[in-house]
Amino acid sequence: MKKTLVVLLLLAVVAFGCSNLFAASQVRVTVMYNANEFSADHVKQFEAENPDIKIVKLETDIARFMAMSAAGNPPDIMRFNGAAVPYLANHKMIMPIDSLISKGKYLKKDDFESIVDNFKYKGKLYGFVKDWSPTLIGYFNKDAFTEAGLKFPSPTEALSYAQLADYARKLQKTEGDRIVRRGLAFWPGDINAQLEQTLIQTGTNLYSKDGSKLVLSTNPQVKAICKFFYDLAKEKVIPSPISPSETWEGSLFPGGRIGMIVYGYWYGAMSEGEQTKGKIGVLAAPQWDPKKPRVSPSFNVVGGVISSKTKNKEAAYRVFDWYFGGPPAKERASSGWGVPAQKSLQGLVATDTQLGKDRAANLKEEMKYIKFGNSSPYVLPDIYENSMRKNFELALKGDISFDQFLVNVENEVNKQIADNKASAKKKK
Amino acid sequence: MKRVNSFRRTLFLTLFMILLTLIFLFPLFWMVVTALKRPEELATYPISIFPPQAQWIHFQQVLFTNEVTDFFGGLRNTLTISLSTTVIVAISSALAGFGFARYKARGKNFFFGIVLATMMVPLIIMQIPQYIIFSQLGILSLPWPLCYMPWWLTAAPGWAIFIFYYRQFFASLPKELEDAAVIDGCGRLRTFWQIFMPLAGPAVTTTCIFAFQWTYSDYVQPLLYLIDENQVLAVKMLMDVKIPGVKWNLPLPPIPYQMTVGIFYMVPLVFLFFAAQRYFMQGIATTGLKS
Amino acid sequence: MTANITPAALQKNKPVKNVYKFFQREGTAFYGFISLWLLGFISLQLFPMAAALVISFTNFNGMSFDNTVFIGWSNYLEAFQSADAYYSMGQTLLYAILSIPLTLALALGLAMLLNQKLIGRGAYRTAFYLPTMVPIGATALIFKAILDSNTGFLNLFISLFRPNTVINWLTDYGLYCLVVMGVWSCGTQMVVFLAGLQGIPEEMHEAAAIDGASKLQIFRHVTWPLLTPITYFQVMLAIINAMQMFVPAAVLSQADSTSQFWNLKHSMLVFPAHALQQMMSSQRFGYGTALVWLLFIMVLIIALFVSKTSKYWVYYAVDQEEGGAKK
Repeated sequence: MKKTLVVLLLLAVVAFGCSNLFAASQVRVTVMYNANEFSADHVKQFEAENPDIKIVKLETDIARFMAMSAAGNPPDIMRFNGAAVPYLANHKMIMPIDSLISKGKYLKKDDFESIVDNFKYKGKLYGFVKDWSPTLIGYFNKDAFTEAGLKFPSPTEALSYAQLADYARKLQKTEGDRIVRRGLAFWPGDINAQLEQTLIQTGTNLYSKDGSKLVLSTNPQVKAICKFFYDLAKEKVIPSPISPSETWEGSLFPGGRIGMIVYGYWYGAMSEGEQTKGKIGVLAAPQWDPKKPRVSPSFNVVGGVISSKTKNKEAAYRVFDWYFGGPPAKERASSGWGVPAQKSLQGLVATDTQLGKDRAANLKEEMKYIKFGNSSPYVLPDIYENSMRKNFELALKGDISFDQFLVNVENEVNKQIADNKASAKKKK
Repeated sequence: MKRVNSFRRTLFLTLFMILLTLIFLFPLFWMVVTALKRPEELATYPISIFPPQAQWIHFQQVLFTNEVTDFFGGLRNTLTISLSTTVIVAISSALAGFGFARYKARGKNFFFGIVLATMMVPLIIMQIPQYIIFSQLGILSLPWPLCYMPWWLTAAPGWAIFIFYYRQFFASLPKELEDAAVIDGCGRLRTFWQIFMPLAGPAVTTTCIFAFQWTYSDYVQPLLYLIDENQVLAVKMLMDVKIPGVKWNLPLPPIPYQMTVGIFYMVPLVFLFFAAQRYFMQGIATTGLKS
Repeated sequence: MTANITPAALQKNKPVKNVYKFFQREGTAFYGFISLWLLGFISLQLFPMAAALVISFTNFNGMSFDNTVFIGWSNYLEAFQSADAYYSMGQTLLYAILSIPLTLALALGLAMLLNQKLIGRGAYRTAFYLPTMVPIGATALIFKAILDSNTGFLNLFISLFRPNTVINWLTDYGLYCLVVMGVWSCGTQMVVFLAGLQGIPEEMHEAAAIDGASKLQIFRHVTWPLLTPITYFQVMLAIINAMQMFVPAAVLSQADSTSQFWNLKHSMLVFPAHALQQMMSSQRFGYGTALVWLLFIMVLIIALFVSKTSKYWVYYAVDQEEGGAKK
């Protein structure tokens, strides 16, 4: 056994030596990103083009991110939602990239769409959008519409929420209590997201201006929106905890099991299934208040940020620049799985089918009305999400009243914000 | 009369066992039929139990192409990690268990109490501090296979449950064994290695099987410590399964392919259980887990 | 270690003799054997645990120590006032109370069935053990497909007898679904029982049968007492595992959805999951750690309680003192 130990030790020493050698000739850039978005092929492609940089690719995992951050060694590039940027920037965990952009190869400031501002905090840009979608764009099943005797909506003119709900109820098809076809589904199917995006249309915000308070119970719009979804959920016209989808709605819709799916622009790329080929139409983003000027919200804008603790800024930015502005960005832009955040990359999607044409026409219209919401620099969005989901489930089951639901969420989130603010002050 | 009864009894028992087996195997049956469906077929209503056309090609795609996931790469990593950890744990736990079983010393009961208590400490509490330690040691960016060092380091002291188990086992062996060893002039370590360990075959097998199976199926630790190229199958199955030919991938892995990978994932475990089950049974039986 | 020092050398040299004596002492041998464990325990367990204990008195957010301050006992005090903490602890205890007896009883039952002369015993044994090998992600997807309210197989099956059954198992009876999932993979416990049964000499059963004991009596007075040590061991392990269970809850409530990992269905929100949710997704690492310490104390109390009761029901073989171990 001693011998084995000695051999193992020796091996370890040799390996340490080797890894140091590697380190000398190659710069390592750690990337924490989902495998289905930043693939092994991307890593190979980048390393072939840039032999002096080695990408260390990790799967996105919040526990690991925390452990790495606490160890003072966070990943250089991370995948985050734009809504997290104020918190991360306020806690100095990520760094502004303005100065790096001017030196970079692909990303050019005058080429940015306004959506990039989602990654801004106090005037500085902290990250970049992978790709995004006007998230209320939907798709509908033409067969289901014909069956219910409804006229196909136009891809450029918005329905109102009331109309949407009316259609959804008519499209709902049941056998006894069993749902054969659900009327409507939203992405992602949780109340927090539904409230967040709809609220953008009303011109009010989730958080107060300085992000120090979540405002729910005093905002009449919030109540009205939540009540709208609460009623639909109670009727089981939309999936909810009391009537969950049997599998991800994104795979139910192509099979004709959902009448309308409000999943955002990106979903169009996979909305057609074998039986539903050529039978899918585009729904323009519905309007909460049709009397007000049209707004097409975008929320949950996902992209990358660079850690403030990165040891080699230039190398990290080269990877960042390449992924968000270089060949992978072009690849994404032509796939139709999202809208690029650069003006120069627009319009690369093929439009040879009717659906493709509808999508293009719709997108052109929606792009005029894009808006997004705000978030708090004192908490990450997760706490709001968790609290909303939990209390909405309780409200639907009747464990708490509908009014209590909003009050609970507000209390839980605001308490956390207050705690975080207080401790930040104490430290100073 | 009696014979008829016994015949009836056998028949009844057999039918009962078959029924039980069917209930137990039903989820596995579901796993196989799901693996054979095309992804779209999961969305049909009413659900079909059998796919209209069994997609055996999924099995082929998983095994012979890298388009679904790098299956053999994942398997190599999984096997490396599980085998190495198992060997280390089996030996190191035996060392400590032997110490607790065969020697008297001040503080022994205290330390044994600690061994038992550590079994109850939730691992989640130690994750981040442990990560910081490993990170400071600089072992988290080593090349394959040294990237599995965190497992080896946590295995080197032995696992509490196996220390307990070995202690029970070694305590059940007669005192004379040691006396004989002393007469032969064996050192303590040699006594342990040459006299006691060979007798502990069944116990070692049991330890190995459990250690192997637990390491094999864990995905929390690998997600925390490994980079993608060294990642194990259990994680790949959850995060990195694609539909061949679809370049832009879905927010969720396609279920039929996940199931197919899952079926192949189980094969080494099933083999291991078959190969070792006899020793395995003996192992637990001889320990008797007395006291 | 000691082999190189000859007795002759010891006679002449006093210090060496002391060294020799030191190595000869049993205490030294004991600490020698456990040294590896002790070293590992101190560096990889004690130290992290101490760190975790300190963290539980702070408001650490899990990512950076910049804004971290000591806040005394307030994490613990908050836990005692939190409705979520009580609810999730209730869920965990309910899970333990339901799953431990069910799993162990089924495991023992199966083991006893398999301990008889049966055709195809090996096949049954494998069939019952197989579920423990299924990867947890796949298990969750399978159970989700079976238990779904709309198209789930279970509801379709019940509908044969009671038409139009649309029970929402996963949301309304989430915890019971977890229990079923746990009971389904009782194979590990089963093989341990089976091995225990096979360790009981056949003669003991025969002797009892000759004395005219019924099957039930044989079980009650021969088999069961001999199995109690194994049962005790399994109960202890089951308590530890059941109280710390959270992975099945997380994967089953998120199976096949794009929600975040820590967003559990309320009906499946067990205590460790609640603690992890606080640690990982609410940036309340300090509070979450305090919750986990409370869990540890809870497990410790239950385990101690069970071990105190063990003298009333665990039967020890007479030859306990024969081995090297002295209790």
